[in-house]
Amino acid sequence: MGIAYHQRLAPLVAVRMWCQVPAPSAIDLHVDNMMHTLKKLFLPLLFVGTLVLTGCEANNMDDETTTLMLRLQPTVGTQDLSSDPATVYTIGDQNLTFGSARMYISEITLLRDNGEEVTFTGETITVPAKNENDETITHTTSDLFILAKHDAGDEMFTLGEVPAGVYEGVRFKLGITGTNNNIDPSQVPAGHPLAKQTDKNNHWSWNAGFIYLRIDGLLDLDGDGTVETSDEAGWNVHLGTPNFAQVIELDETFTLDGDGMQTLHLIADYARFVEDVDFSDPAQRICHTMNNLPVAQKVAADISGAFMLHGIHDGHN
Amino acid sequence: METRRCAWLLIALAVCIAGCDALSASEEPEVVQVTVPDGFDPVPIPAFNPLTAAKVELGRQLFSDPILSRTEAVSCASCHEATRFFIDGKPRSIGVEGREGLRNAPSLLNVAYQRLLFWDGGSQTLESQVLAPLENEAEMDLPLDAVLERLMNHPDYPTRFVEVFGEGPSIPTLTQAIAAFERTLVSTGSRYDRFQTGDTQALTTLEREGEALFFGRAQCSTCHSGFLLTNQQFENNGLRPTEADSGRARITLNPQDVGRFKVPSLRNVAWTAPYMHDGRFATLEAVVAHYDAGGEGTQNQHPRIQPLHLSTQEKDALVAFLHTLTDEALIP
Repeated sequence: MGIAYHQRLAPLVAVRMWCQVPAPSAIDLHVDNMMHTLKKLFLPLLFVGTLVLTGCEANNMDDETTTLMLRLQPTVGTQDLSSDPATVYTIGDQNLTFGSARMYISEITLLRDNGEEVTFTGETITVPAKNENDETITHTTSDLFILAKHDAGDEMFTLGEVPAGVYEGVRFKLGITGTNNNIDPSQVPAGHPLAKQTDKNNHWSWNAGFIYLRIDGLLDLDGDGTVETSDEAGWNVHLGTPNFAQVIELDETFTLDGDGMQTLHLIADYARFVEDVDFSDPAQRICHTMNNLPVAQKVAADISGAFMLHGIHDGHN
Repeated sequence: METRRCAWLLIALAVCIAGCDALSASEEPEVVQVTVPDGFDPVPIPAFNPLTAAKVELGRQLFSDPILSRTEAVSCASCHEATRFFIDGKPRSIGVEGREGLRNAPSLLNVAYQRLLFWDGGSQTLESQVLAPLENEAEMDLPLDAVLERLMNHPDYPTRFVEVFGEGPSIPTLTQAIAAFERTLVSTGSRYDRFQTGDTQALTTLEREGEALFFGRAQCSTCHSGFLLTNQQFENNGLRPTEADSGRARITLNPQDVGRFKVPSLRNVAWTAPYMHDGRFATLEAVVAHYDAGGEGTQNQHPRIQPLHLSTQEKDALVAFLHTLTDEALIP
């Protein structure tokens, strides 16, 4: 995981990237060539060295950093979310369970009180994708993506090193947009969040693009407090396509003190996602976005209100 | 100029190469060249998935292997039969336990040229397309983790994958192998190709009349153009829609795309009945009759689809011309 420093620190990042240009193989280098190369590189190296020293100085002035983790805690109202089929939740006047509860988060950005924005980066991948003309291209991205598999429990994620200081909020996107949403997940290395999942897939096999929010489960149709297992009792919301990606900004001031590891604790209330969907209406029980735009729109409208910044904790808890 | 190239030759070539020289991981893999005649674009081979003989052969074997379905009774080849121009001849495909799919299985010949896959363009690459029928409940109905488990527990596949990819079965390697095989399914020869390249005796008088209508008054070539006889666009050809299938609109969410489906290639069309996305027309005569009637006047219907008032002979001529698009080397 890494971090992209915008504004003042950006030139330093650029220089470091420039230095990563692969060197020629040692076998191919004769002494003369080496000297010639060194002569050619002298001025650029001097320039780089100056910038690096300047950057180090700036970094020192920028106080300390902290390793920031993200806890994205799933709840259903005031309860913890569980995908145990025996755990029945009451949302409005609907009793239901959660089977899948997964979401993609991207473009996580911390908002500093001095106007700077700190955007996190992730593992670099180079993979096939489609451009706007439906042509297959080779696409490289270092963006940080988080696939929160909340049906498997409460997860922690590493965001990266962050300058200590006062922050006024956090912004992120539920969903994935741009060319990143047209990546072919079948070719993404296993272990990367965008790789094709082999269970509870967060990518449609019949359509391009990632499923930003995947929630499903069973309904208590007869009101006896337990859910039925018939096909009619199934509900799902698979929300995707760029139109439904949502930017969420939580404006609350917090301080990162630069002392080791700290955790940004957010809460995702899954009850909010479905509180306006009337599952007593069979027409609202199945939503794969395109097949049921009215339900997709209801869910999307409730997304921003489903997240809350709980606070900053020391360590990783 | 050589115009007869067919999938069989390419597959046979790949099999021969793989069979004659088992590859070890340290050897340079033999690259399969898919050659096409003048007038055809080069077959697009993505840099991340180069064709090698061993990979194509592995893909061919996977394509025909029913262990990739839940019941171990359905393979990719069940709906794309090599002896039937890679179709199944059914209006809509039949998957595990006799389940009927939503749409007609298109031929895979020349699929390497398709920019988008499926009748609605929902799949963007041949590699990602591979996974759709595996997971689809009406097709092979096997979760991907189960697919990989079966491959990894197979007596031969793990070794074969390592030989080809340097690693075992995975989503990327599985999809690359099958896609590599599918890219070799190229059909480029027909009587019409011979006619176009100077063999004036290749078409009869009736067929030439049909050709004139196809590219002239009937305006078929508005959509069926280029060396594949498709513009690769999504068009509404005036078919009465079904509630279950909105076509391209399912992908784009655009109401103007309701009833639009991908324009299919007409190569080998005489052997790929039944026709349309749902296989509703059993014969070419029924297809021509549909267009002659000007479609069914549906929402979003292409403006060029208007009553043609063709005579019986003109309809026969059009059908006769469509028969000239057959790659005769593929006829069983």
